[in-house]
Amino acid sequence: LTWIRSPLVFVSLLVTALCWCGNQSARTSDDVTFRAESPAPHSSWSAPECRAAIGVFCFQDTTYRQHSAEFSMEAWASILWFGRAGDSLVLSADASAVQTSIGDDKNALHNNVPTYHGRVPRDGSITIWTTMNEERGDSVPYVLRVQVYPTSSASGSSALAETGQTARLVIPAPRPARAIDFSVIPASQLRPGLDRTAWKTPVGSHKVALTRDSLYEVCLLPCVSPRTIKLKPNQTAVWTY
Amino acid sequence: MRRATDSTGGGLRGSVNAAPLDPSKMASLNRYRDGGCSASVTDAAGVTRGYAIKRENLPFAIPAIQHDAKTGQGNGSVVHLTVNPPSGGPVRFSCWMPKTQTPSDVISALHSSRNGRWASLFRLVQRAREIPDAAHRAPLSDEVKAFAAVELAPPSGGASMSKSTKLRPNFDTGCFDVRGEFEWELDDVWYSVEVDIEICDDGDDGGDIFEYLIDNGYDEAPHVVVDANRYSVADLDSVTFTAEVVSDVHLSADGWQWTPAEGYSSDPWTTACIGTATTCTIQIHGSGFMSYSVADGSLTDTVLVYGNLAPDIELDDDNGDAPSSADSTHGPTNTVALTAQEDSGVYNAAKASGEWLYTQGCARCTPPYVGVGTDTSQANYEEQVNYSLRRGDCTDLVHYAHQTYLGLTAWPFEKMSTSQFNGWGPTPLAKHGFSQIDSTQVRYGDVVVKTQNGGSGHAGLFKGWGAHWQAQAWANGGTPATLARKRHDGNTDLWTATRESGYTIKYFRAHKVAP
Repeated sequence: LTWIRSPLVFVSLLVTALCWCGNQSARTSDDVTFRAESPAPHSSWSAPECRAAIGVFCFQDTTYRQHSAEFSMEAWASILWFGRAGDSLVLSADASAVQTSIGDDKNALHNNVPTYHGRVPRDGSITIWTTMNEERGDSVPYVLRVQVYPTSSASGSSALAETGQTARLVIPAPRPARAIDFSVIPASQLRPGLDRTAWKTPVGSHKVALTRDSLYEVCLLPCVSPRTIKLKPNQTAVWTY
Repeated sequence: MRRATDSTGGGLRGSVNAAPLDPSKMASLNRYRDGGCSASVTDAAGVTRGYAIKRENLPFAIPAIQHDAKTGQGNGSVVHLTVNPPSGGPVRFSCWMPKTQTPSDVISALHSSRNGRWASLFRLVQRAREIPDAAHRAPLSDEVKAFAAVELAPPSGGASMSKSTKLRPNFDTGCFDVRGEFEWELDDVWYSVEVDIEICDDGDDGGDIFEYLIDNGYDEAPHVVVDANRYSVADLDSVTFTAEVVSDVHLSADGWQWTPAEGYSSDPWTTACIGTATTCTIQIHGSGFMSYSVADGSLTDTVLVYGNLAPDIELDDDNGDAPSSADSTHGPTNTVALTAQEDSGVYNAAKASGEWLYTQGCARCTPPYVGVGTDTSQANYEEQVNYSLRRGDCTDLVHYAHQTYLGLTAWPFEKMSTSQFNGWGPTPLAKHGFSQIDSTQVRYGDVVVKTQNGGSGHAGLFKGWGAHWQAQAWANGGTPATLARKRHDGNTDLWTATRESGYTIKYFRAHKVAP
């Protein structure tokens, strides 16, 4: 790679604090850009009530018609959730459909429905897509209600426990287009021999339900050059190829 | 030797042989009166190259050396920095900066340092003039000695530090060797950068190399530095580019140029600013290089910006339905419009077909998962289009209804996509069994197509007018599987083609082959 430009704004803020005395060194790896999230566009539509409680999370987001990436008139958005094996999830939203990468609920006509009930098969990332009926417009705010039924009382103290905070992770589609997947893994889950396919995440602009980890490994699968990124609440991280 | 005197050189005499100092040389040296740095690298063959950089042209900000109002004595100190770039070996800096600076001040300046200038510096230093090693350098001139005597504060010794200076020691309070490490991103690769700040170390590069370089004309060559306020964009973000012309003389500007990257020979959407202003803000539609040139193109610099846009935004204008093989030149042209009864029959055929499974047969996703295997949990799995199994997208339902009701003899046409409905003129439409009609003519069974201008679309068979005179049509709803998401199988039912800004709604009457 040739040196073209190095966004020095990425330089860790830790340096000032740590590096100047006693030959100490400090390292961090904010290897993605950060920017404040844009506010959702105004809409007269109001989301159904969702009250956060123990085991219940309410994620506010906005679905968009993603013309540039998609070929549909339905507005949609995705949330990235980190699931613990054995936990049960109950998802719902005032939408046309709530779908996950671990399964969908369907009605008698085999259409997708705006709920999901299922058990997390293994520790891993779960992509949750919420889709709006086309008639509701090109940008529709919504609230995704996520209720977690832990498999054991210890689940709540696991490193994968959700904090309720969110960040946005944008993994743009490659150009020219090709089928690719990424893995997104909380740093606490990294270990030798880890099966990254359990943490498979598609390209797109994902709202990320943050765990207790602030660092996440992102890697283009099959993983050759993993990168560690810091996901900060209410900030957007953009992957660059 | 140090002399407290005016560094402008006027009327000064050297202390060695008491010869008068050269005013023109002193004037040249005086360009570095505020401070500056030398940047140098040593290649694998042991050849050292480098040049001197004025304070204002450094990639990181340091304050100017201050001078005593009465004596003219500067408060400069010599500080050595080493930065390890991703390639080309360490770059050593020998800097004159105010002794009031602290190591953390310098590292803070590096934090916020100017990216474009770093890139330029790393590039220029590799091809800078060769610097003799210390043993072969000519003695320093009296002029530079006099200049240094004025700019650099006499050493304080650093023997005793007060409590306050221990808390915030600066370059006047003793000798330092401070190391820092952080990372920079270059494209999609991260590099560790080590910074080593030294003072009271004249060993490695033969002492104050900055003094030697400014004494011997190793000035920074004129060049252009182009930078951007962001290097990666999505969603057609705007980017502000800035150009700086580093030159002691005026160079006429040529202006900006955008060159698409990633193999695209042209990018009609991204347009560079016209004119020679050194700031340019444009919307980026794809990856490319932005350049600014001066002096008839003899000096230029370029910055790469990744346009991480969705792959199809400029490559494919197809819409909410799968790509169609229909083209605009084939198909029978001797057709007659359907009667109202036939139109009703088409609508009823669609409705009678019941619920459809929305699929585009992985036209937008990964082929290995289309209709094969059992792993339907794959995010990009889609069944193959199959009319007998009621599998397809919105225009498949439209096509199926015509084909089923009219039969293949009367309806031999290929499926059309929404973009073809929207974009084709009368002749190609006629060759595919349709004509466009206006909203006053539309009736039960006609085709309703709503498209985003230049983007997605949806289609159905007209049933009637709903609230606010918005067309209602029988449609197969859903979203195809793509690189970014799982297929959504929506309901097959009445769809209201709501009028929205930026969207076009068109109506079409089917024609059949004339008997």
